[in-house]
Amino acid sequence: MDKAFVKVKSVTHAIKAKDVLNSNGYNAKVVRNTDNSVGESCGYSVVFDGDIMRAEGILRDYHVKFSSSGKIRNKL
Amino acid sequence: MIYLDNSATTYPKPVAVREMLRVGPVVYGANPGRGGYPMSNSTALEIYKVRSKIAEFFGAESEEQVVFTFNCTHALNLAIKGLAKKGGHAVTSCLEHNSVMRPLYKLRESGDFDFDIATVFSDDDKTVASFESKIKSNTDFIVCTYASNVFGDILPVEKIGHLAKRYNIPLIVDAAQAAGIIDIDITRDNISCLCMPGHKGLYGPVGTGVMLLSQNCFPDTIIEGGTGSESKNLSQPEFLPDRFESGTLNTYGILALGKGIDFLKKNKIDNIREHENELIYYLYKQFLNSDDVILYNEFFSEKFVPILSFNVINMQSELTASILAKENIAVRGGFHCNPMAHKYYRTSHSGTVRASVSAFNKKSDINFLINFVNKIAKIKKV
Repeated sequence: MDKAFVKVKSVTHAIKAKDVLNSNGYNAKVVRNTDNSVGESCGYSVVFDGDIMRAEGILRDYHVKFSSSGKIRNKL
Repeated sequence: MIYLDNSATTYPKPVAVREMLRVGPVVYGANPGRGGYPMSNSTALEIYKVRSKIAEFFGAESEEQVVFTFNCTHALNLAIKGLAKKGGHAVTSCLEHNSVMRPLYKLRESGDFDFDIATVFSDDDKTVASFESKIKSNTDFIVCTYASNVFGDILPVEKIGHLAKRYNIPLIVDAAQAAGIIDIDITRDNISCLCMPGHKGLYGPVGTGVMLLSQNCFPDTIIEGGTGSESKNLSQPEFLPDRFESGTLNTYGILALGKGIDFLKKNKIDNIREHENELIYYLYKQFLNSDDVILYNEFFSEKFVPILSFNVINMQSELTASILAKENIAVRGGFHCNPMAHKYYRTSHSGTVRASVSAFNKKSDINFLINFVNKIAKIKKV
């Protein structure tokens, strides 16, 4: 199954996003951005399985800032 | 040692705080927010948990609003200089510590900023009226202490917060003597920027402080640098907390501060304050009955934090404190980095001896102090 990600601006936002997603039924984890499929260097993303649109909505509801999102086709 | 200088820093620290300082460098030795390896991630997670604790403890809505600093003075400099505008103005109180006054003086010396000083009265409404009378069309912010570090007077911060809100001016609060002692809620109290040390009433280690920002307070930066985020961008990040956290954090200190917050939550600040008030009220009553001791205010627990300033009659405060120090009683004499409060209380000639307690003090500590002060007074008479 393809994994999805949301790219965030800092590790603080990453942990907050992970906590919010996990408390809403996702299995999310914080990863360091490793290549352009996830984002630019010196940043963090939150990777999870499941519905991206719903995840984005949840993050917005909880005022968690993220800069972009997408699917990762290669295994992290 | 009989330690009664807790307004300078609390001592001893709770066991869990000391334990974190011991194991922190071993277990959480990596730099948070700088790497993707397990120790960096686990350290970042623990730092985040401390942000959550502090946000909840002081009524902030979000973890990002918690900015870690190295002490309260650092936080106050970030807030004061970050909110000051060219041609601007500030209102402050007559009881301010140098951590507020020196940044304001520095801004005034720049030639393009000024401030006015409001008087603090025993009547809160008169105090608020004094603050209001100093507000001008170019006032950028109000900055005041929550409680005096010399005499313990509590300012009506909630009312000043409502005043600031009415004029749409940010309120910066120096909570050096109030954080962990008084229930503070930045949302309820309309505080835009709460500055506090980690090592006093929050029972954390030295080298820790917090600037807690409300969601509508956005100071400019006075320090820029590496944040571990947006590294390709040469401009300072706009988002919190990175905007104000350039350079590596005091990781172990912050994690130990989290244990200090746990200590407060477990023991409840109302209980701790009640205990401290009982001790200071007992000291106050004993000194009130002495012909050899000068007191400077009536101690009412609801109007003061548990601090008592006094002098032995006709004796310089530093001399009294030095004699007590030889008996291993730790109090602070002199001017406590606060010439303003001493001027207001007319103690600029002598300073005062300040006794301040923590959750760990006992009545026997106070009796020890009373006995030696009485001895000093008797010897002086001979």
